[in-house]
Amino acid sequence: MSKINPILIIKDHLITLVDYQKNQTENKRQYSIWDFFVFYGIPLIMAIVCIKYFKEISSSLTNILITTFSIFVGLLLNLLVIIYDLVKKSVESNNDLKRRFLREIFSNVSYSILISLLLVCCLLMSLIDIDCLQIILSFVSYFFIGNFFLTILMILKRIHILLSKEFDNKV
Amino acid sequence: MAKKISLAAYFFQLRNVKSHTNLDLRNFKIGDKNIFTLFSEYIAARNTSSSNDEIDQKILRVQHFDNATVPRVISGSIETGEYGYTANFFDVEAQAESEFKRKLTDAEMIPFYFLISLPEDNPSGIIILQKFQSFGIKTALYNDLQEFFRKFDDDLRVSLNPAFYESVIDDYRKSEIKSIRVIKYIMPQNIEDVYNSKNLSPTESYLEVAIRAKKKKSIHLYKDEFLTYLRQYITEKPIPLNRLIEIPQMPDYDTIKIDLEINGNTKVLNLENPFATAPLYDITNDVKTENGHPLYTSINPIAQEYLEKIESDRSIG
Repeated sequence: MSKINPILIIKDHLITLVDYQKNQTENKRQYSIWDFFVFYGIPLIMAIVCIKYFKEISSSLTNILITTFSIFVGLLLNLLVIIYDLVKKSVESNNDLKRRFLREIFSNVSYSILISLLLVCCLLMSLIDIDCLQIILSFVSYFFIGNFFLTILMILKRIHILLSKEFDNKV
Repeated sequence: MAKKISLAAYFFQLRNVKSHTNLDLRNFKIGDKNIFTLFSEYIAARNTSSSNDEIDQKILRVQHFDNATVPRVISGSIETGEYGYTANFFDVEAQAESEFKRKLTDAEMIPFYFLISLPEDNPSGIIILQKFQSFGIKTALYNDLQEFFRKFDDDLRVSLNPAFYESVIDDYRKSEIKSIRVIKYIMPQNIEDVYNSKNLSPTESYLEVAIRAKKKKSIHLYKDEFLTYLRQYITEKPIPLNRLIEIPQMPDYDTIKIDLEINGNTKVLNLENPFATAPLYDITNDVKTENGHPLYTSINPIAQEYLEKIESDRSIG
């Protein structure tokens, strides 16, 4: 079971949701409550609202979402390779900030691949014609969709900053 | 007024970049050559052919060296110079422009004394380099050594860190504190915003509370705490800097900068990294010069004595 245990991926991603300023000044990990609200609170609220007003996800939408997130898995795996290449180049430099930043992006991308896979599984299982199961899996899917897109937005911002710095050759 | 001549000491180590560990120079060998033999070969090679850094447009060569007089010590003179720009020369005696004009490919070679000590009983070595005014050869030598060792193993990296030791603390004890500045950095909350800042510094702005001495006076407040902190920094893990002193106006701070006056010179000491630059040992008044540069026969014994002082402090620490 240890070969497929995702706990490490989740743990490494959660470590990135910290207040950098407090980390540096107080020398201990300070999780950011605001970050947790954004990445988990907002998707939870969104899931509750969606289940209340839209009920379960229709089968046609389920098929579209399965295709979408399957494509995302492939694209994000490619992104991991790009990050690996940047990590190799950063080994020689003494830039601890850049190494830490790359590690965080790597953890975020791994986590979003995991969420995509979980989403695909939930959506596939929701095609089973059991009402109660469909409602629960739809709720979980709404939650994961919200969490996934917010995580992707964070990854997009970080990759944009990382590659902009590479173009500027400041690191 | 004589141009300032000083010595700067560094600890030399070799690091494996894959395992992120420093190698023990006592056991380090490439083939059957130990570290001293390798260094001797490097210096001898530079004596016959110069190194040309085409990116920085710098030349480095060894003018002369001695690796036989003192066991496991190589000393001598390295010349280095920059090229890539033209210049006219002006004769101040004749008050006229000199006939000679510097071409793009001309490098003005300035000699610098060097001493490399690689004792058999220590995992790291000591390198002492002369500085002439603010000019030195540390970067040029570091880059060239890096290239030399990487030829043998691509994972090898040279490490040249400032050598700090008890005697430096004594110098700070004799100094006068002119101001104490307590600083709190204002940092972004997110690592990507820190990374995105202009010069990769998380500190685009900061708050500062300063205690300044009046004219011709000095501050004695907290001097003992600062000296204890510096001593602990060298020998063991120091207490966290943000608990070193209490300033009611800024209870939560990130670093302390101290403006010191040592022998008429001012120096800013950042306690966050108090030994970031090598302490300079001013030998301007102790060394004999010829044509503006120290004589090898005069600077070598001073450097040997300096080396003994560092090694003696190192063995106590």
